[in-house]
Amino acid sequence: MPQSPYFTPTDYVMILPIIMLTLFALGILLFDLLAPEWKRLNAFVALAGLLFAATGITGLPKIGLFRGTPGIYNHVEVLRLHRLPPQFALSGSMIIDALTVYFWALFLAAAAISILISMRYLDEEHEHHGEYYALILFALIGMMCMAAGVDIVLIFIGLELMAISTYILVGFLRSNRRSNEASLKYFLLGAFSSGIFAYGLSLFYGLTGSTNLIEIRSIIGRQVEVSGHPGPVVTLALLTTATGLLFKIAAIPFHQWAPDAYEGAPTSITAFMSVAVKAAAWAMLLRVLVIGLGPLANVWAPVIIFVAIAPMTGANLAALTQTNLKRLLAYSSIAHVGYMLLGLVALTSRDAFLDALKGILLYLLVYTFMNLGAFAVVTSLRHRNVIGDEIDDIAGLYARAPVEAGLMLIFLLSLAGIPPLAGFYGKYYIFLSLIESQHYVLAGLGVAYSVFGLYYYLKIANAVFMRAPLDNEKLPVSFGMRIALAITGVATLGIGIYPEPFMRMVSWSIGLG
Amino acid sequence: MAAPGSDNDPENKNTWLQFAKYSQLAFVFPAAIVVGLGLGTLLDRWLHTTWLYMAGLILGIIAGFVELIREAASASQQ
Repeated sequence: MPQSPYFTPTDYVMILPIIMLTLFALGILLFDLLAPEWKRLNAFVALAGLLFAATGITGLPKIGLFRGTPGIYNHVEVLRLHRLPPQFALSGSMIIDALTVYFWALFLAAAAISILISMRYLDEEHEHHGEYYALILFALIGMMCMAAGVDIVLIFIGLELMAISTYILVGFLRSNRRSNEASLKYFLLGAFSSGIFAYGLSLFYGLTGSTNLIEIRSIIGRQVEVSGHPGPVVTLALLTTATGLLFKIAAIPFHQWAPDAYEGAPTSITAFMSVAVKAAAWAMLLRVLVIGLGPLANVWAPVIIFVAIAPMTGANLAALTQTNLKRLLAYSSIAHVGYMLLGLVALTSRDAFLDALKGILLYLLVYTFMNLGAFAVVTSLRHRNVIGDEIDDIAGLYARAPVEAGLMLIFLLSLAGIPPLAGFYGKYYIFLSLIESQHYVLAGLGVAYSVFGLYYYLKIANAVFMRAPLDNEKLPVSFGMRIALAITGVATLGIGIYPEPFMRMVSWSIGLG
Repeated sequence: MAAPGSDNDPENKNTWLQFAKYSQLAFVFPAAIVVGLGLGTLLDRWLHTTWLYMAGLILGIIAGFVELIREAASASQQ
């Protein structure tokens, strides 16, 4: 692995998106401090920052950064045909490969849509402050470090940067007790899980003498090959690391923070957390568990099977009885983690590796758009004295805002996995990989639990179309919200009707395109 | 006295003034960035380097923010 002890200009080119976001986040903080009357402009400056970061990302493949060095995937036998060898940055602690680019683009899209749905919502809450946008950008920087990190120190710093920004964002409604409570709960449980995660990582450092995932992989791999088993300390390190990772993706039984944090947080932040924070945690999980700790797959695969079935069962059953929209969508989000974890189970099989990886990545992509769309509609319900997070608040939406009601139906059916919408393809590839890896029972369970999902999603649809509205006033939908709904609606329909380009994009991200 | 809605109406003048201030703010920020990036790219071509565009871009963003804050602060005072 070519490494320079110092930073080179190429390093700066590779982390240009991160530099852009840092500059814009700091700029927003200063602008808000020195020109406090221009609150709304902060949102546009943040969107400009995302645009510049995206320009930096799209420039990466074009400038030939992927040519040259053999990379992390050469350690994963199945992907030896990788056509885009990655490049390492910052003395080998960061990897800029197609997967990194894929995740970075996903985070930016999720953040942009979250900002668009936030603008009027923050006005309604009388909490329009510049630090809201700055914190979203700081959280994004953390996510980017998590997705690109191959050094456990960088991954951990990224995780904490994201987590601390998100704790503050969850409690952003300072005068709202629910928001404060949610923030504190999230902070305490998050700090606890970060501690467990750090403990596991420190054990790996103690065992291997390295903080680099590639070196940890090769040393642990050799150890397992020689002795035939990982040994108790490696198993303990693996279990503590996996616990931290599973907490971050909110898998049962490590999910307790999610419904409370989602319910109390500002709805726009709930939307952001449910897609971007989750995608970042998945990026970290794939880097650490699949790539770094791949040789220990025999140990973690059975744990993942249990942790995959538990969210599907628990979350789907819990969602059935919810009357609060945000809580219902929180449980639905935990159930979706279960489906994605099924993909992780299939990932351990050689035959189904590629389809499982594609399935997880496509699922994250479609979930980002359909869930953000659903949350955008819920966010738009906040109006005057109506908090807008109960199923009663969405009742009769068809009469008050027919376009939003139609889009909500599309998002809900997509979340349930009904073809020809995007959610169907996410589930299809996961179940296909399970069948390929001969996990027939798990595939059957996945399909059965999807029916549960259909029930509670249609419960919302029933309220939207069949019930009389409690308030007959037309719903005011801001311009930013319209754009966000248009993007998410077009993506949800587009991926479902013509999935080919998106599948190609996913294949490219794992080095097959 | 000027007729309401005409260009001489003080309220109408005020709206135009506000529009001018907003558009100035919207213009000054990207302009500084584009100038910084352009100068960096030109220097890269001239000196046969590959990284000055990035320095230009970063300086452009910083200059953009400085100008944005100055303009917004002075517009708020008026």
